[in-house]
Amino acid sequence: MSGHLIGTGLTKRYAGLVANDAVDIEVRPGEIVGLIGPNGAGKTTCFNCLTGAQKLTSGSITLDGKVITNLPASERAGMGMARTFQQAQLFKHLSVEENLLLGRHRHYGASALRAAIGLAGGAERKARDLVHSIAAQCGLTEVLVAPVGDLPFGTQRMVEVARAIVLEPTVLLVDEPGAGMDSTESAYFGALLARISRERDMSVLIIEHDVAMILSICDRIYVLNFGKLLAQGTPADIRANAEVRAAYFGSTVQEAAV
Amino acid sequence: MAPGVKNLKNAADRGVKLTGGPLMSGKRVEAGGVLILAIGLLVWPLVTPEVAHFYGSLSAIYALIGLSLVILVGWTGQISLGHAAFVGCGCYFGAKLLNNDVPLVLTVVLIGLIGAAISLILGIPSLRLRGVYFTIATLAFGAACQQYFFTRSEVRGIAADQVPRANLVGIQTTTDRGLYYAVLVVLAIALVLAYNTRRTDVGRVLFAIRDSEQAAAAMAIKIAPYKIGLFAASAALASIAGLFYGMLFQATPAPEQFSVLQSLFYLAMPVLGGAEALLGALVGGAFLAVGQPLVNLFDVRLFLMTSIALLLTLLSGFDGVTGALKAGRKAIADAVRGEPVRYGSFVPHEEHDHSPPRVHATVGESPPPVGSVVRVRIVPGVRP
Repeated sequence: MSGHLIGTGLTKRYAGLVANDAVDIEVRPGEIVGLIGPNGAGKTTCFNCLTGAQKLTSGSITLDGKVITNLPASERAGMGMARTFQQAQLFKHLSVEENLLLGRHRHYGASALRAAIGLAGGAERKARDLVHSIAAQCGLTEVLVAPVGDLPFGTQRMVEVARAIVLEPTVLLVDEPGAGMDSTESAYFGALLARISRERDMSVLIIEHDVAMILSICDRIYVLNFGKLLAQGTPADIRANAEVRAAYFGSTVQEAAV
Repeated sequence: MAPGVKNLKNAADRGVKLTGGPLMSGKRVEAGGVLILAIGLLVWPLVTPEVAHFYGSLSAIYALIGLSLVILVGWTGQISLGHAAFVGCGCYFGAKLLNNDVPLVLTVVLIGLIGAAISLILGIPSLRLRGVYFTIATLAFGAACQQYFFTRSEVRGIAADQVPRANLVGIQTTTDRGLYYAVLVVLAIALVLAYNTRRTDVGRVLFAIRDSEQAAAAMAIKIAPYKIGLFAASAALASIAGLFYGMLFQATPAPEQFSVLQSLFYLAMPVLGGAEALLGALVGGAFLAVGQPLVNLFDVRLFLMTSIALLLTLLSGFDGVTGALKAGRKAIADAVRGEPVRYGSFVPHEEHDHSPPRVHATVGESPPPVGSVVRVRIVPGVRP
């Protein structure tokens, strides 16, 4: 089983500001791991470093035993690492179906030349079949032909996640999928993610502010605060940790732990 | 999990529907339109006087240049002010090859390759630049070609060289009508290649890169080869158009014909015809070619007429003529079905009520703690 992502001593400095300070993080095969922390704690920076969108100041990253610290984002994606963005980054000139089909880029299997002279029919059909089945799983069948920019916000987020899943990743990094969803929607989303992770043997690293959702679906949780790792452990450990309560949960801990 | 969660549905399942109907999703309507257009393009020279054939050839040549710009501007959002220079390269080098008795088919291929090779010299260093910076690099390239490269005697010759009209396989090009058919064949092949590319992986990748390079990289897309490859294809098309341009006039025009100003003029084609549809290139090409003799009748400059047409197109908000046709088709589809409330192509409710819904929300009194999210649940419905 693959999808084993390890970040060791991840450090990222912007001029004087230390966004990530020697963060150690590990996502084991098949695991769902949460990354939480107050706004500005460095969660998204950590994500961007892991996926290659930003360069590390120091530290190292391995995926399934291979060092990927200096690989560009596209090559990491080619190795089976998919991600979504904090602000959904969809291809707004394209339809939902075309957005999802882009996830098949690395599995497409027909060269540009063959496609240009019209011989990519087989590859195109195969890609579409897979896209349609994943769209059905994510409840997107009805909107496949719609321009993606016309969709309601929550559906756009779902398209982004579906697009990442179409990549058939071994590890999926999801950045705040719940932003803009209400608590029922985000609970539904969490359950869906957990199911897909199980069915596809896909490990997941998820940033989320909806603590109830994180506690219910994650195997382990990391807590970041001011760029440093504050705590890690199972949902039960995190819930019991006094430091975490003080830094993060604040007065809502009773409500959040329900 | 909270109770009731399993009943929650995605927006799509709640009955969100698309507008459309048979008129919008009609592949047959599109295929029929293209068929009629193709027959029209083939038949019209048989029933018109010879003077029209010259402008037909010129339209087809301009349409090739238009197509090269449609794929560049419409697909990648990049603007080139150096395309006239590629047309010039195709014209001058094409004349040399034809004068050395290279068959026309081979010349077309070779000129395409030469154009692509020249574009790499410009493209590899400058395609890292985005938006206006890339355009400025192409401006410099265009100006340099016109001022220094094309003026060299070994490129153009001292005065205009003769350009022979060779046969394209079986098609005699000695008459303007024959040349028109030859260019039409090349244009048709280019259109088919572009159409196939647009609707498969490469086309999607190009649009993805245009919309978000970061997200494209996250889809395992290597960006540079696609940008450089498309620019090379665009340059190849423009160069091939240049070859036929020389053949049409049977001479190598002066370098001023391939100036930066001319590039700007060419850019009117994707704007007037529409940059999102490939056939926009045909409309734009016909406008520039047929515009010249038409405006001569009224003794005004084509540049003036083009500027006015450009202004009107931009003010209309449509994506050129093809965009206006598409919008018209949509309007008819809506009129047939009754106009629904919609956001873009979405119809959230079937009723025809355009008044904004009222929202009532209650939020707790105490300020929320740092890092928490205030969630407001909106309950859609009608209160009597």
